[in-house]
Amino acid sequence: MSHYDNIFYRPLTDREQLRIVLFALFAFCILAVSLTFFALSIGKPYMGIRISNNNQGWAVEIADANGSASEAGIREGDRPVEVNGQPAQMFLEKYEKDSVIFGLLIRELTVVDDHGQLKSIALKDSSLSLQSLISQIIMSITCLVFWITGFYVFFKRPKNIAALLLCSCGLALGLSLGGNIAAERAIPTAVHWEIVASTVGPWLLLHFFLVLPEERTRLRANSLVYLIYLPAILTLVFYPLIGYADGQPLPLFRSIRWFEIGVGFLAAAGVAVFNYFHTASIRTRQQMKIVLISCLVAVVPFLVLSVLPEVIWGRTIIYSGFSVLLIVFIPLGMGYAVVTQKLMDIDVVIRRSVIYGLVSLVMAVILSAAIIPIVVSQELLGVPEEIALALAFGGVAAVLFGPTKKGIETLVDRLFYKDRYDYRQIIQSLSISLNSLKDFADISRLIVGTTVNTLNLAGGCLFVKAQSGSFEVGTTQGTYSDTSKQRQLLTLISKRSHMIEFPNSASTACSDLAFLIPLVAAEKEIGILCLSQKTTRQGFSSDDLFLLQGIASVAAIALHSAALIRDVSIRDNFVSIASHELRTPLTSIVGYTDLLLRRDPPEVTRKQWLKNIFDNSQRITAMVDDLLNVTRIQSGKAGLKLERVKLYDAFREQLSMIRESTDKHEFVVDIEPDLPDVLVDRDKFGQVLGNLLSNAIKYSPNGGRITISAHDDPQRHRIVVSVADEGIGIGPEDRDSLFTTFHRIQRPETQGIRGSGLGLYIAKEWTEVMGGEIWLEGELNKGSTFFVAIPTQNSDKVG
Amino acid sequence: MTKKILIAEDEEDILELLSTILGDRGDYEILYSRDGEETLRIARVDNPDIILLDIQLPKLNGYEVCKLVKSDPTMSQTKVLMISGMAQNADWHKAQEVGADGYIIKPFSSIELVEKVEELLRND
Repeated sequence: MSHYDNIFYRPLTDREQLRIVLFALFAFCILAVSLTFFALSIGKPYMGIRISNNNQGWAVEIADANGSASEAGIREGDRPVEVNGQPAQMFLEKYEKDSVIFGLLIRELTVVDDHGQLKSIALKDSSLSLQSLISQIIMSITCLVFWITGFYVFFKRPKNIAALLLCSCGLALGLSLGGNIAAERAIPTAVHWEIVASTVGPWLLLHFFLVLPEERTRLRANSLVYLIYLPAILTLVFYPLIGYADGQPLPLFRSIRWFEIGVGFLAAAGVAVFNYFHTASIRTRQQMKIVLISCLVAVVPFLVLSVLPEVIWGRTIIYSGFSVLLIVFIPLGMGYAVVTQKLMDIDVVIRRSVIYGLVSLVMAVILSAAIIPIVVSQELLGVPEEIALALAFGGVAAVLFGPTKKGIETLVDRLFYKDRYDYRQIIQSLSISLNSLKDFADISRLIVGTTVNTLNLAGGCLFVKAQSGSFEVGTTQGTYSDTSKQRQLLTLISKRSHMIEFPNSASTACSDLAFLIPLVAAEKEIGILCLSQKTTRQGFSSDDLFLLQGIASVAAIALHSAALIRDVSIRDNFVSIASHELRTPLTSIVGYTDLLLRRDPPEVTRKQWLKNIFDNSQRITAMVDDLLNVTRIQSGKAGLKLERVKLYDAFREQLSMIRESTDKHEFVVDIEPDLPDVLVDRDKFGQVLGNLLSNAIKYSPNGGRITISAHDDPQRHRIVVSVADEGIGIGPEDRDSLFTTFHRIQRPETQGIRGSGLGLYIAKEWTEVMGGEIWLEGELNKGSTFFVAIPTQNSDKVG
Repeated sequence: MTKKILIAEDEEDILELLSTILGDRGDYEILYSRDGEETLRIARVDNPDIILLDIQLPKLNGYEVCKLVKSDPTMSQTKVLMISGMAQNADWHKAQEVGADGYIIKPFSSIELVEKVEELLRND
């Protein structure tokens, strides 16, 4: 499994496809069994009773309120007289050892209560109570929500193991509930299914929480993780051997099972809490927050409306079955956590809930205060005064609402959201500042600076898509000013096979990298903002993510506009330079042709004029060739014909042509003997060498030595060629844009030097197309040395 | 009186072409310069009647030379004909701003050049 799986989509492998098909088959089988159990049980009455043998003999231990036994008036403590048509003593004899008998074994029952009154129930004559039917329907709905969520998540993220586990959890719950309902109605084998499903269920949940976090991607592929199922497996092995006898699970096994299930659930909850507090990834924390909130939503109403009132008043506020329905929030929360890419809203929801909850509380207190004077002074006040007083307090509450809300917001932010800032304001001012900028470098600096400074990041880097389609460093700040880091990021960006999604945590791919944010405008990726972790190593809050999303959007628009302006300006510049470069030789051609037509010069002059015409035609041809090459490069249609070429031959060919153009320069060739052949496109490599040599001549107008060297770099399977001159050199201001189109060095010394500003751009592009690298060394006024590294054997990039 | 023409052009064959076109007429004295500084120096010494000024000159470009010429009271009579490879309006406007008296775009025919030069000298 690659490092980049969590960041980038990739197609499914055959093995994954097989796994998905097999799981889907298995899941549908389980679903069918669960549905069968529900179908067989719906509307069918059940005994809902447990009889146990305590010191005073056999007595009813539990009578389920929804069961037929309870309907017939049988209560806890009643003593059995007759079971299944046999005298109770005779029937219960064989269960003496276990001291317990479950409802599933009882079809008819007669008991006697403390007052000596007999009560009888026969399942075949009884009907299901409405309450029991509602309870069954609610359980079915809960299971349905689990199944639908599970299957939806699984089919949405088929290769995500957490999605598969969520689906399995739903299936286990469904089978466990269905099996339970069916077992109570003595439907064959149902009890076994229920036991298997409920024993495995908690461990599936534990597995889910273990592998959900992105930073545990490696754990997903580690088979040792399956050891967590050992307790469940042991329990299930124990069950057929000593856990089941006389048609029912034995009490000891039931205790072991409850213990095992309890441990499983506790472990799952522990891992979920651990994930929340110890994760490095903001995404995981948000996921855990969602699951936690959904669990609270499911459990708190159940506790408040059913359990607590029952303990205090002995009855529930609402029917407890309805509280069971709230359990559906758990699968919904878990499913949302697995599937969604937009997680950050949840923090805002929590903050708002807390603030408005407190505001409501304060308002309620103020309004309640109105009642006290009214109650106290009831005798003194008439109705109109009471109304006036109530209205006055209402008015006070209304006036206080605004300041109270503001005060509570400030208090909550100070206590729980210390690093909160108004991201909207920052985005707005960034947007206004960006509007006034046109230059790429300024825009990049402002974007990276704002982001890094606001979020207190260790570093930031903006890659901008160049005209040629490759990413180039726009600007860097902090730790990413290091070029080796920039190269690492470029490799990471170039390896992806799909547009990056935001937000994603890139922390698994590169330890100090927090986000790779694609800047997309007009459906085109025009830049990528790489951001490091915070200097404090704190996580990112939801506000941070909102800020990043906002910055990404305004940055994309600003860069897009700048790119359009750049393209227009480059085109204008192109037209202007091309026009000038073509017009100058054309002037000679037109002028001398005109002279030849009008005059009859001596032979020597005539020849000279014709030579001028010829030379300038050649100059135009070269210019047109350069322009065509640029077009080929930029349209990506540069075909490559790699062949093994002897370096010495390539140089000799170029030198023989270039030597004729100068008499001020001395050429020194220092090529190592026995160099291996280079693997290049002969024409393109020739152009690279030719362009470097002609630049060396042009930019050393006072002449001097031009040194051509080449040496082997066997470790990296390449040959490094260099062309050094003693010319005017290149200043730092020109270094970055030296290899771009139409870049001309604007210095007084270069004003007379003719050129299209395309030579180095073409040299760089051809070198890179051939799998090589080009760079420059040298100082201002001290000459320049251009290096070209060319591979000597096939690499991935070549061909 | 023989008029003095200073040709400021760094491209050797164009310099030769211009001097051939104008010099063969016999009624002009032709001076040459190959960069901006040299042009200014010769202009100050020889006070030519007209300067044929290429815009893309080394050291000082044509616009800068023109501006300096036009701001020098000793050369108030000197006309400047800018020669440009740029065919855009902005270049012509820029030339007017620096005080150029005429503007000719490359490539040009010998007749066009001679007419322009004669026209400027007539207005003298």
